[in-house]
Amino acid sequence: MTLKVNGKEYTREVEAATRLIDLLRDELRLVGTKEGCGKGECGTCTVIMDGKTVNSCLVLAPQANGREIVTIEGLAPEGKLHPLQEAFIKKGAVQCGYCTPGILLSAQSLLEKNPHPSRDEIKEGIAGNICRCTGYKKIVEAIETVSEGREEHAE
Amino acid sequence: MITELWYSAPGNLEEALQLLQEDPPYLILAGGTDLMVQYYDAREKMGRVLDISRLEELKGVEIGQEKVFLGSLTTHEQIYRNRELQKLTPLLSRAAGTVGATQIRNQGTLGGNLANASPAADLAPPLIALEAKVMLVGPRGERSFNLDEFFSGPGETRKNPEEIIKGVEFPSPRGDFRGVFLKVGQRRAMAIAVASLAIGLTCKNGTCEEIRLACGSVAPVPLRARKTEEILRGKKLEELPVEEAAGQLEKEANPIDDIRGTAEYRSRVLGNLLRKGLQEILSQKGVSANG
Repeated sequence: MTLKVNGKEYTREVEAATRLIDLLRDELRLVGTKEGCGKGECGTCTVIMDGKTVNSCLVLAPQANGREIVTIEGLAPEGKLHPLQEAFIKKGAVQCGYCTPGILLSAQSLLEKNPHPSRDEIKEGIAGNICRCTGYKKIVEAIETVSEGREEHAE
Repeated sequence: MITELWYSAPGNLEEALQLLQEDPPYLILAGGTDLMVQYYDAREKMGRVLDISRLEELKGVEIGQEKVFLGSLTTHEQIYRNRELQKLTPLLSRAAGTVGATQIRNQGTLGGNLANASPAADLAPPLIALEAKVMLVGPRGERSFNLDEFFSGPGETRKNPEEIIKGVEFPSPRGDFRGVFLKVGQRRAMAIAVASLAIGLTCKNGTCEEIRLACGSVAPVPLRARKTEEILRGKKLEELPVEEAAGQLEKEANPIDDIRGTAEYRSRVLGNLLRKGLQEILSQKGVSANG
């Protein structure tokens, strides 16, 4: 199977029972994507597939054949942090960090579709990502600052 | 540790239907949000998987003057975000929006929600209230069921293993149709219904001419509450016997105790959903296919 991850094309032979998260972590060594519950509840394994967020633990790797994937590594391709990552650091929105990759990708996907979401829309956008440190307030604020930052650029 | 699993991703419907006639049977995989949850606990039971998620024949949303068709691969997120559906069938959009969260809605499909046949399937009550038919395609052609007759038990439908759900079809709601979907879960996101209720009501000259009530999570299958409908049908909107209907609905439901709630609680909640839903309907203006 062939897929594109963070702009780079990979061809791999995989067992049919491999999940997308296993392919990303074990084969491609992109270990920024974390596994939490393995049942689609927690959102830690979120990646963007063909422009849409999915739980990579619920996708069989062969289902990603020919698809384009963005993982957390793709947000900062040349080591330069994405504005969302900067904002998360500045706002202290990272505690243990385990949920952070998934939340960043959910936030990125939200802002792509809706550059200036309301607070409720942000909450809805990250509703599929559980932060067990429960630091949601700062996460929402960090996403807000990026959205507002974009507004300034637009003006 | 990986146990053996066979995977096929046919390129067209014909090929898929051919594969489905083989023995042992394939499990049909679309969005995977139900099937893949079993990955750790029951992977050996997954055996052979037929991935239908690329079949063009199962895609598409057609909203016409007479009928609405939704292909079985339509995702919950597509239903939730579709502006025409939001206007025409807000009860369906709302139900789709209460499923999981964005990731689950991006993956999970309409066909999967129906085929999985959970009593809590969120799309079933609004579609029953909209008089939807589920269209099946198999080796001997197509057939359809009224959706309220499609489910035969928890996780069971009248679909044969060699058939695939093609989509659903329902009459485009007219200007005098009013609909509502209400769901009670344990939290606001990622919630499986403790109880849900869809109401589809057609009113003429201030009278409830036709009404369909469909409930989730209160019976072995998504339940059409015909006896309660009878109490409300033909009554003036201002004089709807709400209390009598709510009492009947609580009796008509047949819920179970489980981790999400007790049977008694579910019945009580369902009665309240009817009270609230009818109130909401009385405050609505009709929606129309013509906008």
